[in-house]
Amino acid sequence: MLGDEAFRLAKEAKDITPDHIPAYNEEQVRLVTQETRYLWTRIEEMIASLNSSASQGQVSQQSSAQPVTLSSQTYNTQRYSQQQNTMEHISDSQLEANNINGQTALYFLTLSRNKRCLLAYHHRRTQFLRSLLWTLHLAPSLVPGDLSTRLSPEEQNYIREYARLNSVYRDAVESQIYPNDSLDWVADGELPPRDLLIEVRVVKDCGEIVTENGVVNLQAGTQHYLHRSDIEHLITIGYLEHINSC
Amino acid sequence: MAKRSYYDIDDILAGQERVPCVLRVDLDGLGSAGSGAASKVHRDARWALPYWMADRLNEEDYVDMEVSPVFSKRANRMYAASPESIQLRAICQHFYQFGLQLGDVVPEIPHVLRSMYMQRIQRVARTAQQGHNVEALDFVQGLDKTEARMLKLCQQAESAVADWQQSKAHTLKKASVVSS
Repeated sequence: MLGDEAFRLAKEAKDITPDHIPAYNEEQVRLVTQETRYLWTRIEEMIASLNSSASQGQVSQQSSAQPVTLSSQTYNTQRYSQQQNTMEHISDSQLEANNINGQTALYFLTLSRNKRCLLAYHHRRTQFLRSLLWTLHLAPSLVPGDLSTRLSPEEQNYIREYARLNSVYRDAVESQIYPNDSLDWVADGELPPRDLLIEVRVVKDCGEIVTENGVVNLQAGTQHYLHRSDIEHLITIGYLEHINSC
Repeated sequence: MAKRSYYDIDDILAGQERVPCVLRVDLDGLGSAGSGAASKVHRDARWALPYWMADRLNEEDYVDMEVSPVFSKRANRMYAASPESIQLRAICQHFYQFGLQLGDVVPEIPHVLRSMYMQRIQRVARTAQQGHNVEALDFVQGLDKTEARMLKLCQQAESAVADWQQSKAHTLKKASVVSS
């Protein structure tokens, strides 16, 4: 069936959860674009054949057979329905023209459908990428390795460019909003901070980090009481574990 | 008219449901995957087309679209009789989305959808609160995609409330992406 390849892309887009994204299906995207291009050439052929038979005067409809032109991608319904008016006296050539019209309509619909599925697939994926970046505090380096292998090169570029765009904006605006100190741009917007200092246990060895109060040595198994802003990114990637002692 | 987004994946998936049609012209390319251009379906043949195709071709009178068996008169009567015991996943996985799309054309459908949804969603919410037990299992397995999403949302809300009661709501967590 004509729209099936694009439908497979739509199903893959549905599989995207906040935790998991399937690999970028380059093969499927290529198939769909190939099919779309093929359909477009077929449509042009059929329109050309309709035009040539119209100019030879073989197609006589009650409305004048104007040469059908492909203007923009808008689907002008009236042009096609003009041909349907005289269904009682249908000659063979009219039947043939009807068939071609119907076929063209079908191809055009499939073409729009393919376009929609492609766009929705990519839109969904970039949506996922953006939310991923925000949870990772806009640091492209924090993206797990196995995840980045599932992204196409363009998507990896997208991540980097998005982070860069944000930092450019922040630099441009920060000095005006908050002249004395730096603004924590990437703090979690959905979970408002409750405490200034939090208790953490170290899961994986991080070495030493520089905090406001000096250098802290983070060794596996130790517990520390530190400023939230200093270590939030380490909690996100799992090196530290937040202990709630309420 | 239901507002639908161009990029909405659920809308695209629901539009793929088939409806029976009678063709008025010969059409090519409607065969199953693999037969490609070799399949040509002739005039006055019956064929099941995906809804996105059938709807637009119906406007142009290239096909005559008929109401899908999911929303036939007999089916509608069944829905009105016992909404909670019907296995929607067996009938049509995207029941509500598909019904919304069809509802633009067939006027009785929105009413059917509404009464079904109102009755079933109460049971969904109750199931979410009680946790899964054996009787609810059949019901849960018969939900369509929309209701399943509602169930998951309810369950998440329940666990969030439980977390908050145990003062665990403000714990910073490792990003779920990283652990996958």
